[in-house]
Amino acid sequence: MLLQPQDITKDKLEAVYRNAGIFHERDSDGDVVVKDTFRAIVEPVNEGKQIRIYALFGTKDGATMEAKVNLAARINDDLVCPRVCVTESGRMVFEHYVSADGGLTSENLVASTRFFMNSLVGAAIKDSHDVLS
Amino acid sequence: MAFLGLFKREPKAYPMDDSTILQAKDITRDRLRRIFEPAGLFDGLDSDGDIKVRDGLGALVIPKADGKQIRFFVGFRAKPTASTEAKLRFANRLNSTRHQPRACVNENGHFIFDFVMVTEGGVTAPQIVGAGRWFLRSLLAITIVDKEDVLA
Repeated sequence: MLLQPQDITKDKLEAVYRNAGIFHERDSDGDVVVKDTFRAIVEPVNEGKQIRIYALFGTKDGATMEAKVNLAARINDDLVCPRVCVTESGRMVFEHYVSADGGLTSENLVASTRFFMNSLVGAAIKDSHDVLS
Repeated sequence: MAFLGLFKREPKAYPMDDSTILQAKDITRDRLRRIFEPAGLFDGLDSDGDIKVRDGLGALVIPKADGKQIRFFVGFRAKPTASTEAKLRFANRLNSTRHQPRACVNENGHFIFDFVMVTEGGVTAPQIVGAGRWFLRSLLAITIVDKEDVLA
């Protein structure tokens, strides 16, 4: 069955992961959190037309903004996923978007989530200057 | 940005009730062409035979050899006077303030904007069109974050 944007709620996302046997939980804000080697939050955006999967990474105390931006740039240039940025507060966000506009299968959401989680491992390997904490 | 040849065309209605599930093995250049043509996004083939799509701005659509991913991407030139630091700041500003596209600076110092769509598990033609349209329309907003005037 296809999920349409209006179907994409946090409860539906949780149900998809539950049915797929993916380890997950709801955090204190009610967000759906998928756990593997890393921890990622999954949320509907743009009224369910897209689903954002993202992981927040802290950085070492001594890491400069320049070093963080350079790491983000290296990952974005070398890998097809994830999309990486540095926030104003200095945290690093690793993310991937799944488009549900036009319909989305549960299986595609699960495969996209696994693709993203696996990509985090490759991204972490790019941290040759030891920026991530 | 004049070199991009802004050309606005009215998108055609796509048969959004097409719920046929396409698997990764179905995702080929020819299939993608047959998906984007009726959606009014197909804009021809480049010299490598890759599919060009356009909705205001243009981009390329490249399926991975095994069909497991579809990558939408376009390159933009940077101003020769733009410093590496300014270009990286622009890419990071875009990536941190907007959902789409992903921006990076390549080894030649120019910009790549892209989005990768996973097809494993099955996708529909309207979903591919929706993703393509989302990506293309996001390109129209990138100049908003170009505060340091790094785009040529």
